[in-house]
Amino acid sequence: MKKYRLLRVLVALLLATSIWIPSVHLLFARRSGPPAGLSAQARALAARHLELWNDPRLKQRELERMRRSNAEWDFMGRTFLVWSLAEMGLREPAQRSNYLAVADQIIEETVRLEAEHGIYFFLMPYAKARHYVEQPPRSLFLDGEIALMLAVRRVVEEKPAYRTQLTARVEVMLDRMKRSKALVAESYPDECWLFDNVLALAAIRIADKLDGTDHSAFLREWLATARAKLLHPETGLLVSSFTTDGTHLDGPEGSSIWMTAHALRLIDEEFARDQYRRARKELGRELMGFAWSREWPASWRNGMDVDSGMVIPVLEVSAGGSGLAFVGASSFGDADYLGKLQTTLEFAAFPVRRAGRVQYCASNQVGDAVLLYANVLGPIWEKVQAGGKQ
Amino acid sequence: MNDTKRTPLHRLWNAGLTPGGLLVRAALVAVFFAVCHLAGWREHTTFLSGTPASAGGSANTSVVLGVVYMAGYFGVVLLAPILALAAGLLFVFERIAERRGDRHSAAKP
Repeated sequence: MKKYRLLRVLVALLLATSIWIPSVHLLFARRSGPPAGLSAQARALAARHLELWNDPRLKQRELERMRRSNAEWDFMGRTFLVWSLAEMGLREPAQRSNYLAVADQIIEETVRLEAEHGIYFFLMPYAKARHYVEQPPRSLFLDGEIALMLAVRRVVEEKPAYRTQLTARVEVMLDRMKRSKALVAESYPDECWLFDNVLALAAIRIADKLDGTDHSAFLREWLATARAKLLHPETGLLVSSFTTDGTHLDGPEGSSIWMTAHALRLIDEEFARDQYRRARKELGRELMGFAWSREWPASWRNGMDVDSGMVIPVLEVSAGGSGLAFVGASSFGDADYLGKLQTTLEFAAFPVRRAGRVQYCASNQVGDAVLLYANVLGPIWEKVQAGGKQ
Repeated sequence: MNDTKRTPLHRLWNAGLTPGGLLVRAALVAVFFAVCHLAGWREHTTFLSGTPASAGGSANTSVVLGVVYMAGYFGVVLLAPILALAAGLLFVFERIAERRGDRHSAAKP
């Protein structure tokens, strides 16, 4: 009997592995929430963010540890949260005034910090290493996302002071974009990002809807130029960064394309859907009930950076790309991919649930704000896409 | 070879080749994870997002604690259940082998 003991152990381990590994996802699968109102997941994520913004000590601690790695995250944690609060305001009219009060607090503090410390406060240090092509220096990263905060807040409920601010940002963005051969504006010196440019377009589109202006000709021209200059030939995906004349700097990236496809829906639904389908094929991956996003397609490689986050070798799981894949999957109603992304999140992002709040330890405030946005997005885009003036 | 002449390493290896040995190993993995969890090292997995666990703390320490926690967590979620399942399967295999052995002995004149 002893002679076969090792063989029996090996067979038992092999069988146990083949039973357990394909079943692990069942432990972490969560049912998605209802389409209207707020899901339990959204409520728990929102509770954690509202706690942060209501407790100055907690907020300072969280922002300081993010700023230690990347000042951009401090800014994007604010913008994603405001976009989420606006969506929540439409989903839960009874709570609208509470959500808008926090959104206004964030918008006003962000604009004040930008005014007091200048654009570099929310940028990475290399922004100071060279001169911006367009002078005086401005970053579309800030202008576009602040404009989108002002715009979505006004979609929920008009605030006259924000109308003036939004109009001013839209004019500055359009002026700079029109001066470039590729109709793009800089976020960093001679470095333009698809993410920022498309969010700027979304803000312009919402401003048109709110204020009765018409920049549809510019939006069409932008799309035609992007199709001609900014597509990656191997994948047909928009590249993530380029110079002011449209020379590609980086190829397509998961940390850009998922959010970009979502924002493009306000400009050209069909093109946006095509970009999403391509991103799913080139970057979306699934295995045994789990799903994730690669940062780069197989035909274009780059090194890990602050946008990609940690990339796990072999499977090519990108933390940044996978977080933003939630936004794409939610926006395009890809329930299967979204469910599997959620399973991966519960399995590998180390959630901590306490007193009705949830935070993902493997993430940070900006990552959790992206997840919240993915959970609640929808009503704002629907309202903007509906016919007629606001 | 007499079992008493084997090294402690051999004895440990052989103990693992029994259902009880596999269960003990699964329990050890669970205890290791419980220690990491109770020590509060879960928050150090934030290194995966490129963020330190605290603004003032050492980033390197945070990475080490985060990696140790992840080893414990994936051990308890992936490895321990496999060891426990394998223990059950091995128990069944051994009972079957024993019965066959008994039948074989009984059939001999």
